[in-house]
Amino acid sequence: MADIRCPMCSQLNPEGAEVCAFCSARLRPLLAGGPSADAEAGEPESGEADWLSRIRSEAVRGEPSGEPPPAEEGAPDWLSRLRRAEAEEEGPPVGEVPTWVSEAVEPAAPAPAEVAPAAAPDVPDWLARVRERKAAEGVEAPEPAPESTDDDWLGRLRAPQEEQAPAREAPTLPEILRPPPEVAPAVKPTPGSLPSWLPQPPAAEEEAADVSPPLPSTPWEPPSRPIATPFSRGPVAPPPAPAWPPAPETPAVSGPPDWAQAAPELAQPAELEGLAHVPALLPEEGTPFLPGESGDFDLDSVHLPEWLSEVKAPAAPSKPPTEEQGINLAPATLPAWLEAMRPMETFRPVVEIQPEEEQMVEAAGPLAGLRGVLLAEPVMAMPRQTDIGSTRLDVTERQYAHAEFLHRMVQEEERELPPAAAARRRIPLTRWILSLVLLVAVALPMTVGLPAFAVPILGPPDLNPFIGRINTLPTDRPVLLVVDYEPGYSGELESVAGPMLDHMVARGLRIATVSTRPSGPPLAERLLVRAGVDAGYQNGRDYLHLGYLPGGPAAVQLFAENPRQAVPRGYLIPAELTSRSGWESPMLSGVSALRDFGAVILITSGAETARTWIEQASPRLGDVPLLMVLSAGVEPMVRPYYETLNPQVDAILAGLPAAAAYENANGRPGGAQSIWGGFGSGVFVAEITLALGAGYGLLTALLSRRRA
Amino acid sequence: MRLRASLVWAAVASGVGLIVLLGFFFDIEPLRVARQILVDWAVLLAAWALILGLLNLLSVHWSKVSQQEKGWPYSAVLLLFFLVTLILGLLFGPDSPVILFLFNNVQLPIEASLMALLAVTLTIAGFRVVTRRRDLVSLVFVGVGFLVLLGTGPWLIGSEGVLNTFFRDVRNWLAQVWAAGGARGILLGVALGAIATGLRVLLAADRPYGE
Amino acid sequence: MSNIASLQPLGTLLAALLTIMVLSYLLGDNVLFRLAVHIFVGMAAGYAGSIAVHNVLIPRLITPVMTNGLAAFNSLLIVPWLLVLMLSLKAWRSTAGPGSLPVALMVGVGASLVVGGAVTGTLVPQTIAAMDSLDPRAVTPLTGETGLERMLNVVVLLAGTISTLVYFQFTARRDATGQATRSRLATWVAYVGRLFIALTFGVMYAGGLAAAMAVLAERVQFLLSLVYSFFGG
Repeated sequence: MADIRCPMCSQLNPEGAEVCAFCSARLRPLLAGGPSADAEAGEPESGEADWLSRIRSEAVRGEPSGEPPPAEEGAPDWLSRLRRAEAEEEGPPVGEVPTWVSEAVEPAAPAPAEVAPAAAPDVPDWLARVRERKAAEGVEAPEPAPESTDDDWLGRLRAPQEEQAPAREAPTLPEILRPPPEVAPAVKPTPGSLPSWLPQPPAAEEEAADVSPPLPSTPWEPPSRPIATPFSRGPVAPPPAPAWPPAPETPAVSGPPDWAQAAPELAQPAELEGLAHVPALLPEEGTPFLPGESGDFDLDSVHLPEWLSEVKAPAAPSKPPTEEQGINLAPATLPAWLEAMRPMETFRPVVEIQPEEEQMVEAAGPLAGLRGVLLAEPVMAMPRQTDIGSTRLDVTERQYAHAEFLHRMVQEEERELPPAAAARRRIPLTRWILSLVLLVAVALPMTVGLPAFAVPILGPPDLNPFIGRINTLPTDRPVLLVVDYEPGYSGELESVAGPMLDHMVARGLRIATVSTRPSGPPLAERLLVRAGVDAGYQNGRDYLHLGYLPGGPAAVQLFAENPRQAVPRGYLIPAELTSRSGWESPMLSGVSALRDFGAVILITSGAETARTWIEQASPRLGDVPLLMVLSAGVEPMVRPYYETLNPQVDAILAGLPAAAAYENANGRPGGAQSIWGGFGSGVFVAEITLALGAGYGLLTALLSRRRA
Repeated sequence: MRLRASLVWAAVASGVGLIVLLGFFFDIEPLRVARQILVDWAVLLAAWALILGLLNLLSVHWSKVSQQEKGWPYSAVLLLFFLVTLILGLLFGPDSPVILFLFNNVQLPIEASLMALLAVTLTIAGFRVVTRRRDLVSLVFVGVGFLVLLGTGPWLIGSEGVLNTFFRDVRNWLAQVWAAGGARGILLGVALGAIATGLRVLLAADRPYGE
Repeated sequence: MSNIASLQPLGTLLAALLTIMVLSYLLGDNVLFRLAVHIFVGMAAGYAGSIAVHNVLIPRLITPVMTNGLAAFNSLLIVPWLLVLMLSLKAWRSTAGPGSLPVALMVGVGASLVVGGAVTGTLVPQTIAAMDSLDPRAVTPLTGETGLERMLNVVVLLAGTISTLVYFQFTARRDATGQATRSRLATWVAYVGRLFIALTFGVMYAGGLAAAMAVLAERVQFLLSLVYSFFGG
């Protein structure tokens, strides 16, 4: 039969032992009953031909049996050596039961006070002294209990203790759950005073080093079965059914506490059999005590008894744990207020409470023998080295895919893109061909005179009203010419405004220019020089540049409110005008507001500028007409201000055709007619290009439809 | 402190805007004087803002040249002509013959040539629109443009003929009626948007002047 | 002045060279084109700065002080000076806070001018013009159309105006499926407005092309005249 490993100190004990020979912990937990328990309980009866029973009988008889316990197969050598201890060695001889053992088991033994340490010649001095002290304290001798009945062992154990303060914590608990006895040796045993089978006290010089409790040096062996954890990937092995040590039965004698009586199903200690094997709390040889530790705890500094160092790895349990009837514990009932705080049903994990008889009995640890206890084994009760699998993450396929994706994203960020191959330069054939054709088309009429385009005689419908307005402008008031176009449009607008200025010069109108753009004043100078040079127009007398006014709408508003204050300095002011502003010029003598001008003519290439002048200046104009000379692209956006019953723009002149017709009407060829051929040729090429593009688009659409 | 400063700026913008806006509808002398003063300050600040913008241009290209970034020679040329023109203009005046010479022979030809490039690019763009896009909107766009060009430009033959007159009338009808209707809708939409944007600024819902 | 006038042929050559440099872009982006553009930007910026200083800042800020001395600051002149100095602080991030005051003033003035101008200059007059066009007694001022011909034009004009305005209306209701959809009528009217906008842009495109063609013709004429002056004497 296999040895029993003590759950407290993990020492091997003979198979039939009830208590541990080393630490006096109970080896066989108390079972509550049941067939298995009963069956197992019966086993010790048959197998009680062991040293414990001998000890008991000897204790009763008071004489040693003299028979060494039979050697058991497979027992460690140290055990056999213990058993072969010579009589001359200190310690109880073979078969002799220490008095404290007999006192615990046989309360009928004489009172400790009556026991004289000298009566037993083999009792060590320290034990004798302990007994004397007990006698002095008046420890009542335990009641004797019949040897054969185990039912009264609890009462026997409890009786001498009733007069003491009852141990509230667990008087009916197995031995291993009891608090350690509060007995200390009165005298520290000296080396050599203890029997050989007991650990010898360390020498005086070694005491200082012995600061830590002795640790087993036997390597710890991982459990033989896989430990199911939430992190393990492998199949979860069902935990073994631990043998719950049944609570001890209520003793027949009076005196047991009430709560012990509530556990009538606790089995007798003699019925405890076949406990689940609890691996020793010993690490493997060469491995640290706890996994992951790098040897922070120096075992060399701990003094280990010799017998501990000889302890080998524990053997696997030979008997499966038996399921005993557990303690009849009702499921925990929560108070109403706590029940109200219970989470919603949907989130409440389904907890199945098994019937009491199906609940497992705890077989190890401090709660051994109890039923309905959360399984400590193997998670808590058995220190173990964590499996490699327990640290592995349980990753689903989707999470793995996400992790891969993120990893690729990070790699993409870090990856250096290879230098992009130089893009193959595409020849802009269309642009080259079109540019060449356009340039040739525009240049041909100017060089060879072909093709020749007739100058328009009839202009657009807007031309005549414009000419009429110019014709009706008063000559005694200067005309304000606002030059607000970009130099890029000078090629068109100088051509368009040219005939108008010729007309005005021909009528002798004085012109004052102003601009809200920095490039306006030099452009105005270009216009007036070109228009007035032939008529002898002079700066300061016939025309004047009032200058530049920044600010957009604010500038227009300011000028409309008070023109003299708005432009304090003019542009190209003649030297004879000392103020540098031009307002002292005679041609502007009667002008103090916008409505003092004869007309306001705006030359612009932008719809926004036109709208600004219309919105800001027209309320201040009164009866003064607002005329506009526009680029061809701006005309549609200004027309709504013009084509109304109450127009805000009195006349517009837009586009080269209108200018060419104007020049024709003036009878004075100008810039518009000089570029009319090139303009016409260019427009013709553009028309052909659009037509060809439309034809190509139509053809490809038909072909693609036919293919489809 | 930060919150109060932003409230001050918002109050200034709203207050000033309210005074100027009321001047559109009420012709009261004190209001007109205050409005004129405020607008005058705004014009002055606009001129100074132009100078600050030019200084920023200077610093950007200066750093480009000093750090020799890509294209720094072009920035160096820009800086050279900028400084030369500015110094000459400050010394001799913007209406001096030197500046006019530079304006007429450098700035104007370049800007006019850039505008001339537009003729080629607009023609190519029209060609690509009509060859690649075949939806009704594109068709209307290019078709109307073609008709307007037909009615605008001279013809090789029959410039004053019936057909030419017909297309000229079509062009006028398109520009004076159809395009005018669309343009009026666009103008009204632009005006509504400008009113909404301006009111948001005046009511401090938008604060483009910073915190 | 005479010195500058004598330099005019050189100026013409310079202008022609720069014109060719810019027109070389037709062959593709190149160094000459970029050089010409950077010259233009630098010169335009320098000129704008010089005219802003000469025509605005010196007459408004410097001249009063030089004329009246420090007494000039007794008037309201101190305020523009302070505003200009505060606006200068915007150049550095650490001192940009006080610079918000002049910017707020500019923004307030500009916004109010835009609002007032839009209301009094565009919104009200254009709305009245649209309503007036329905007057059967009205005569088209330009072409003198009356009667049915005019009414047809008025209908087209109004249809264009209204449909364009509907096109810019982007609010919609959510239907049962949660999608924002316009009513069928609004969708159709907006599509018509889109066609009117395309038509207007087509007219503007043709006008822009015509303007650019005129400028191209002027530039070609300039180059040819230079060539003629060299070869023709």
